[in-house]
Amino acid sequence: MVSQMTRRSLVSKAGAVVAAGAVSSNFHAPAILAQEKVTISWLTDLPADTIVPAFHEANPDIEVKVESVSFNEVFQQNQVRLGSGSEEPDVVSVDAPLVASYGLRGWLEPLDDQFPDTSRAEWVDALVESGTYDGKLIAPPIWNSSQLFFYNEDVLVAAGVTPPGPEERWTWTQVQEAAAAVTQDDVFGFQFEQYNRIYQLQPLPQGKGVPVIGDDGLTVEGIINAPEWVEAFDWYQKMHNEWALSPKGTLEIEDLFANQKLIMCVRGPWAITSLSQLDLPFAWKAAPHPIWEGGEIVVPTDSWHLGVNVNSQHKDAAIRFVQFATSLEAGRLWYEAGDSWPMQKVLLQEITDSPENTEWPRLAYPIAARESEFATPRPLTPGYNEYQDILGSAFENMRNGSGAQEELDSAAEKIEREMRKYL
Amino acid sequence: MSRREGLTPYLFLLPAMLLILVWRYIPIIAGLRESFYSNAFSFTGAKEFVGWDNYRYLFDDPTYWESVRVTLKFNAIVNVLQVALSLGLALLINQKVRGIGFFRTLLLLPIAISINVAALAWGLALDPTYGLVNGILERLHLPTQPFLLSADQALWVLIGIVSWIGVPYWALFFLAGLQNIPQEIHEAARIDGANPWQGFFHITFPLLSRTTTFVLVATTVANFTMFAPPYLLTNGGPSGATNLIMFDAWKRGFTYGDLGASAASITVFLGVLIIVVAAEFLVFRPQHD
Repeated sequence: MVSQMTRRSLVSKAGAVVAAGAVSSNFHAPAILAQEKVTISWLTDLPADTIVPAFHEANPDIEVKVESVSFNEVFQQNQVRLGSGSEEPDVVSVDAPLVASYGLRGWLEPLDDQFPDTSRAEWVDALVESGTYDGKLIAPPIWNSSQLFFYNEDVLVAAGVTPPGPEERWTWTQVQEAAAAVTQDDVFGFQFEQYNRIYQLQPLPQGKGVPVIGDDGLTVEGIINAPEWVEAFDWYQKMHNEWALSPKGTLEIEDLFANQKLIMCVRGPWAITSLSQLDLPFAWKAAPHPIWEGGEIVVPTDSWHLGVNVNSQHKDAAIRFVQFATSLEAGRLWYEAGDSWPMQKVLLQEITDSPENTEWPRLAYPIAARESEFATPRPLTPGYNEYQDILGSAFENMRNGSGAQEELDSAAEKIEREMRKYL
Repeated sequence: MSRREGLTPYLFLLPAMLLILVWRYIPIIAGLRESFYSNAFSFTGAKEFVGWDNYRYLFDDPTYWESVRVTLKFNAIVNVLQVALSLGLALLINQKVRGIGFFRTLLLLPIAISINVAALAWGLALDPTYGLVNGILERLHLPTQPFLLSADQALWVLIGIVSWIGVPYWALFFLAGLQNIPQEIHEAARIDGANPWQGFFHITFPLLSRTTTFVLVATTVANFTMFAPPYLLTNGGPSGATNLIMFDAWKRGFTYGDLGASAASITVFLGVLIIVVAAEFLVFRPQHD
């Protein structure tokens, strides 16, 4: 979900600089300013400029050196640098499902004392769960995300389909029927923004009331190839093949949607900001995340989390930065810059109640805020990379025509094999 | 020759030898060592000596053997194809006709494009829904193709992409080799009544054997270690059809965090590559002085 965030980093910069001056921080500079300035490093692909100037202003004794890398490089560099016991980066960006993996390897400093239960109670519960491994908070969340159903209202209406209202939750069957009504030539009805990643696809099986991994965080045999999974991904496979309502190949969902080549999609709340900025020549709206008929509401969430390198030589300074990054001030800065969706319950309530958010497109914000109630994190497992990668290949193969049962059986066998090293 | 003069060549070689030592031999030794260790999942982050476990784990993994099969198939085709086509291209652009300079430039242009850029550009052109190639096929009323999305076609598409750059590049070496063959030999053969085919098989090809051996060995090394196209275009899929061994080893190390198995894979691969290259040298070594 986070790979899309970086494209808004430039947009955020101007707003961040202005906001940085106005922010009132709870993190005051220490009394003795003459002390030596500490430099800490933060490896990230996030729009760091949105909060770093505000942090510097409130903490003149700490300099944050941002190491900006691509989304994929964050994972690779963490793996190599933390795995080799490096002292840097001091502040580590951790994608939520990797918290368990990093925790198992002992790469991050437990932060329970720095974030008491009272402060954690202010965050969305699913995200606290994601940041905790073995009962210890090792990587507090900084963002949040809840997925919405976006649609091109003009095309749906022209095809005789009545679009969902802002409170109306469509079923997947309704999505399929609407997609059939609008698909023609190179125009497709529906696609997930992350069409081959478990993050956005997990509501398909989970919405049928089944888990995505065993209670031990390692078992998948009999779980990811259970009948409900096969049924869910049979639908996904047919959407791409037999019914041909979803596009194949490598896709830029925002471009397809903006060019009216894709009429409906599931995307995160970041899309509200980016679509608004495009000033599209058609009416687009958003609705709650779809479900199966009679199924459970499952809305994927998760966010980047920040951890402190266990080998850092500047742990205190790194912890102060993490505290700031999880504060209300930072949450507000990121939200106002359009970079992210806040993880603080107070801010979500503010968004829901705001009189500014009563007309489209801003009306989509309260929908996303309300969807946080159904936020469901990704599977918590030390082998998340293996789990995601192997399932991702299976999803891609299904998109290209392979059968759901065959692919899920094969994926279960491969994941089980990779998980053995964690036993 | 004085003792000092005798040492001079070695002094000139020293910087290169040092760089090779640092950037080649030390990583090989470090990789070999890593292949006998495994990550100990503890707060110490220490590594644990596991003997041959990483190798046993690897040899017991069907995905690994599938990757070996794909790599061997890829190389069996691409190396022969590139050597044959680059030799053919060199023979063509070695002709002394008007405007040959223009054609040489045109045919050698792909060399200027990095494999990463070429892979991405071809990836866009071969997109099954919005790509240029299927657009052309549609215009010609021919069936559109899935290309990289098909387990049957993806490896052939990769072979095509790497050859698009590889063929003109290796042709340059053949061209240099061809231009080193004295014209008098060709003329003598023609006077003796040799036709063009006889001239090629009895004069050109034997005299190009050093170049051919070099190109064959170099393409083998380059293509056995091919990484960028599966990384950028296919993620090893569909269904493992393009899971070349370098990509598989990278994924084990940097996606799955299993550096031990990754190092074991690379160590075995290095051993196999040395054997293949040695065999090529033995079989194709020049028979003339």
